[in-house]
Amino acid sequence: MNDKIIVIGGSAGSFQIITKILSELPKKFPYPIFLCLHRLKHVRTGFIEALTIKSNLNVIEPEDKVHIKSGNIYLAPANYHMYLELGNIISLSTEPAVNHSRPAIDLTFSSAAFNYKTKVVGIILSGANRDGANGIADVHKEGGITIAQSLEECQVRTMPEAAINATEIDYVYTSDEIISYLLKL
Amino acid sequence: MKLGVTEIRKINFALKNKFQFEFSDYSFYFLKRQLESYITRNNFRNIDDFLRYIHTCEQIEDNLREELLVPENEMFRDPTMWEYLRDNILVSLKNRHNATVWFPEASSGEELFSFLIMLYENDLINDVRVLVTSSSKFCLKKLKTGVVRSKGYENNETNYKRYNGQNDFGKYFDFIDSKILLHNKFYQNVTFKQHSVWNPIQVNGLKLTIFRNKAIYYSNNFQHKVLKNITSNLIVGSFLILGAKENVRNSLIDLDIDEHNKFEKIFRKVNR
Repeated sequence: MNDKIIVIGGSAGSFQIITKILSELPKKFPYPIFLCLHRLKHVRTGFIEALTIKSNLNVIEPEDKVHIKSGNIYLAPANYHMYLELGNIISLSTEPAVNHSRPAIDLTFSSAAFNYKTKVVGIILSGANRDGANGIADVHKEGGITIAQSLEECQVRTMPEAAINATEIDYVYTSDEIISYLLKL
Repeated sequence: MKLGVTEIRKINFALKNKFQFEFSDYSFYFLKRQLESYITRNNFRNIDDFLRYIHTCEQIEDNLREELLVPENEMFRDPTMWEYLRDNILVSLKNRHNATVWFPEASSGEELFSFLIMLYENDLINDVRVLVTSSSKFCLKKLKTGVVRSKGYENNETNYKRYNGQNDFGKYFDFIDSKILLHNKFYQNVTFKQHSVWNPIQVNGLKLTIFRNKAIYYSNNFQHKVLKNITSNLIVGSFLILGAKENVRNSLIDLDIDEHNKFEKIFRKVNR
């Protein structure tokens, strides 16, 4: 399976950064990317279309138990948690909200850390709550790479700041630096 | 407490030895999270402590079954699905004596309560039989009381409005102290039964089964086994509703169902 998997979490103020990252990644980007973004739970269409316009890669809202493929971007569906499972499978869940969020970034990141260990690159972008801090700490504990968006660049700094306070972050990067890092993987 | 693969296998082994039930039929990461939560909440000091408890406690199977039944969280979840159900499928239940609607693996009741309100608003509450089954006797006991979880009440009301519900949502409930109870007049034709959906069951006159976001907690093979049990009870032309992100595309032929509404994940039994 893949040498790396990329998990990205974001909330308020992250959409522009996400579209910028997606627009810069080449068609043949070799790793799967998992986006866990806070979104309106009752709006089931539109978001993926907005991301697809900007992306060179295939953006998918996965159904439960789909197999992970390299080069695909998987967006956590509205009102579902998204887990990465043993056997390169995505599982969805309607368990109660975590950090007032479903999908919760913590759950996606922690499941990635548990199953993919050192292969994980976890990135926390702009956002207004602490979701993702525990998850990225798990990524660090399991030997993955941890990145937080630069606080100066963030529209809302609470989320990357919580990540920085929760664990040892390997890199604090601007969006351009995040893109550059991903392109060198 | 964090559990690794080895610990979870030990727990599964102990449970299987005692109850002949494969907890490993659940999705691994989901099972891990639920077990961790149970072990932490009940203050077990370590895995051996918990394994000893499995051997000695007769209630552990029921406790874990309850733990593994995820609450449904909100009434009228995916309001467009409920609108579609009301406007396009409910009519097939009219004037059908003994039409039965089944809610397998019911947990906190929001799906059932939404459906009962919909039946009432469409003058079908006395005409349709509703069967509610659950593997957890604790969940069934709670369901029989009609208690609605107060935490999500505002969200339930918002979803009801999005479903274009025409009435004052609050009029369907009694507010007693801090409890919210669905009026018991809705329960006249509801039967409750303890049953695990992975075991065969015969349901007569089954016109509709609502099984949304239940099978997502099972492994792939187990999902198929469970859905096979459910669809074997459907009569030709009757409906099965799954969660918006459940995937049975590769099993349609084996389950003898066709996609009726792709977006809302509504399927119809066919005769191949």
